[in-house]
Amino acid sequence: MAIVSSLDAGTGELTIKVKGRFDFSAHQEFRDAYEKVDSVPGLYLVDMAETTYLDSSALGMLLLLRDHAGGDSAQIKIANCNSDVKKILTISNFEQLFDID
Amino acid sequence: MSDQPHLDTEALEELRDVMEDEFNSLIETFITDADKKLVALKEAIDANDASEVGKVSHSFKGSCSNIGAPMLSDLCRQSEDKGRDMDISGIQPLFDQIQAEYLQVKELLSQQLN
Amino acid sequence: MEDDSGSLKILIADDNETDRMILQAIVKKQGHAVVTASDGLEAVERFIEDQPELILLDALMPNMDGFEAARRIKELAGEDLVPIIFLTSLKDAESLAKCLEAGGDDFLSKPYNRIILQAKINAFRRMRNMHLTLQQQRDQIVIHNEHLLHEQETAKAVFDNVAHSGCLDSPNIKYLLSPLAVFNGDVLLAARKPSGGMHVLLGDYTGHGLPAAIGAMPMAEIFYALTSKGFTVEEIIKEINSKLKNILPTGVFCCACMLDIEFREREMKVWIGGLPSCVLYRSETEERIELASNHLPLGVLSSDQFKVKMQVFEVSEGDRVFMWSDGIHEARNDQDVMFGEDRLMDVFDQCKRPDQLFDDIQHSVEKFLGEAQRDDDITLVEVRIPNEEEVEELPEETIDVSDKGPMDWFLDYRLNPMSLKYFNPLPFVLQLITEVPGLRRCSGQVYTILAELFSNALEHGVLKLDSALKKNPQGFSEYYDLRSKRLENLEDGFVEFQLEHIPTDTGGQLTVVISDSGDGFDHQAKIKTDGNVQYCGRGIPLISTLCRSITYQGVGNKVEVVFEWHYQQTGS
Repeated sequence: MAIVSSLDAGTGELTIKVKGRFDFSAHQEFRDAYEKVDSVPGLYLVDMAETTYLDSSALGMLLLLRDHAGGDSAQIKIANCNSDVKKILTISNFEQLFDID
Repeated sequence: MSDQPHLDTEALEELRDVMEDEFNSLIETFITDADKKLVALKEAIDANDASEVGKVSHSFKGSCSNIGAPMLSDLCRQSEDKGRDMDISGIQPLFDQIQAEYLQVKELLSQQLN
Repeated sequence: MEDDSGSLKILIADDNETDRMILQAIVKKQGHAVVTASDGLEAVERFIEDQPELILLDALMPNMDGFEAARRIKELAGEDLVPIIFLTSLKDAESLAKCLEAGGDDFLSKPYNRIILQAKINAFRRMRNMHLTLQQQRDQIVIHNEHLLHEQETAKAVFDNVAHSGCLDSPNIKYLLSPLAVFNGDVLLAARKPSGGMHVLLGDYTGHGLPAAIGAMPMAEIFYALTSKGFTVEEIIKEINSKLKNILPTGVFCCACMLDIEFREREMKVWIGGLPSCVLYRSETEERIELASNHLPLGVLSSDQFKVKMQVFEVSEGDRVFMWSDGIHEARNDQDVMFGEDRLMDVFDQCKRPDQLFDDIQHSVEKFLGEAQRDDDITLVEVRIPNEEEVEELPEETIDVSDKGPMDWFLDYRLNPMSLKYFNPLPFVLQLITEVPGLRRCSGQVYTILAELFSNALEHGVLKLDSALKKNPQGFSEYYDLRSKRLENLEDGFVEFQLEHIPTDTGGQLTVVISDSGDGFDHQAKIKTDGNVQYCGRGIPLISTLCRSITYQGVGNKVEVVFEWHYQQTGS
């Protein structure tokens, strides 16, 4: 599990890439990725291209991100999910809260 | 072998430093113990007890090396080997050598007393 | 930083007095305390009496040699680290190996070198200190762990009192739930409704341990309290969501499935959010219907955003609903392969006998996991639609003549459009009625009567719905959709309750009049044609059996029900 993040100064979009298993061990790093930024992002992209697995604590982390990013007014996209990840997000109906690709 | 000194003065100085006031006591203890060891060794040879010869020689070898008497220690090693090999026939000359070397060492040590 | 400080108590065991003196001097000069022994036996005795922390041991000694002494000392030391440095002029590998085998940790050869000995002593001192620290930390962890386990037991005891098993032991429910499931976040609740039906709730909290268990308690309280008071499944699930949203931190939530089963009406409503799809298995057609999660889990959305849309089904006797948490899907065998949804659905497809499905699922998982794996993380529930005889009568509370309460009163309560849209009056009215001591034990029957008549008044009278629509499966959902829509758009209409209670010689009498703004129906004609009191095709023979009388008045949009209760005879 590794978290890589980059902030596009021009668009104000923070991309957080999760590699490997997205589970409880990612907790601190994921949080640091969106809290320890030089400037406040306007929108977020969680890139799951290399995410192999997602569990309920990862769902919790996404909710924390949403809360941090403004709750209902947050703009968060979740992209490049493989079928397993997509399935978990679907069962939880997270498309009601996030823009899922 | 024969170019080894009777006493390793450097080692002895180390001991003097370590023992401080106890230095003399140490030398005296060594001498008393060594006298006893020689008697025991002689008895073992006379009794033709190779095993005992080995044990006594081993013990004496140890304290000789600690006190800084390398040649004496080496002679004891030879005696120990013979004893362990269970062949102490013809060990008498070696015993005489040990005894002679010991007398030398004993003399030199007495001179070293504080 | 390593701990270099501290002087040690060191045991010097050597049969040669000269050697002993030298070692003692070196060691004391380093600041340590010394005890001595001149043979193996004495060495062991000194160890027992003086408890030295490090030992310098001559290999060859009389009475008991160093090897044997080392073995005994190491045994006596147990799990404590007491380093043994062998003093030896033995040089061959075999002898040195023997030293190590006997328990020796290091060697020091003659002539003794002060620097080397001191360095070794320092190294072992550091090691000893580290070892001690580890032991202390380990002991602390053990104590801590015991405390945690004890706390968990206490928490579980409290939880069991709050959550109790409700009616999980009903003959129509089968379940697999590990005794510590609540600490895995799994909760299973079941309760009979006052009208006779049943609510079942399966919850799966995120997280583990106490935090997961804590959320389960208010959920259980709300579930049992509101079910017994006659609140609807929508009201209950909404209330639970509110509570959890308030008390759970962001990121913690509860995936859940709640069933509302009306035995008599043969209807089932399902709310499912975040749990993997459940299954409704039709006994007659052997059809497997997937009940998919269509909501976010509980505790995520605020009250105003929370959605209560239920999936509604007609059910027949023998139909079965299967619910599970994701423990089954995620169970892994020793090749690290997950059991998964496909295997689970296969069990249904290969089913030969519906009544064995529960066992089949369990066996299938066990077989997949193999011998070594435990399956006590599995939560599995089967709720079968029972026939009426099977369903136990709800136990009656006893009442005493000396119980006092409101015996003579009258209430007129009219609900206009906004109230009809946003409020369910039944729990409140029921609450009021059951303040009468004698009616407390009949709350189930009273609730059934009120619910039936109110539902008729609202749906047929005010919303003008035709229950004939519910005859076929599509019509079923259509009916409920239409009901929602018409209620949402309601602008005129009312339902009115007029309740009166008077004491009688033997107990009391409750009169309930429910009227609505609808057109009524020709009740006289109905009675003439088939002799039964039917109202829009739905029979209310039950009400007839419970009440002393039931009469329709006016154009049929007003119904009066008289209900009697009696004090229990002493001795009966």
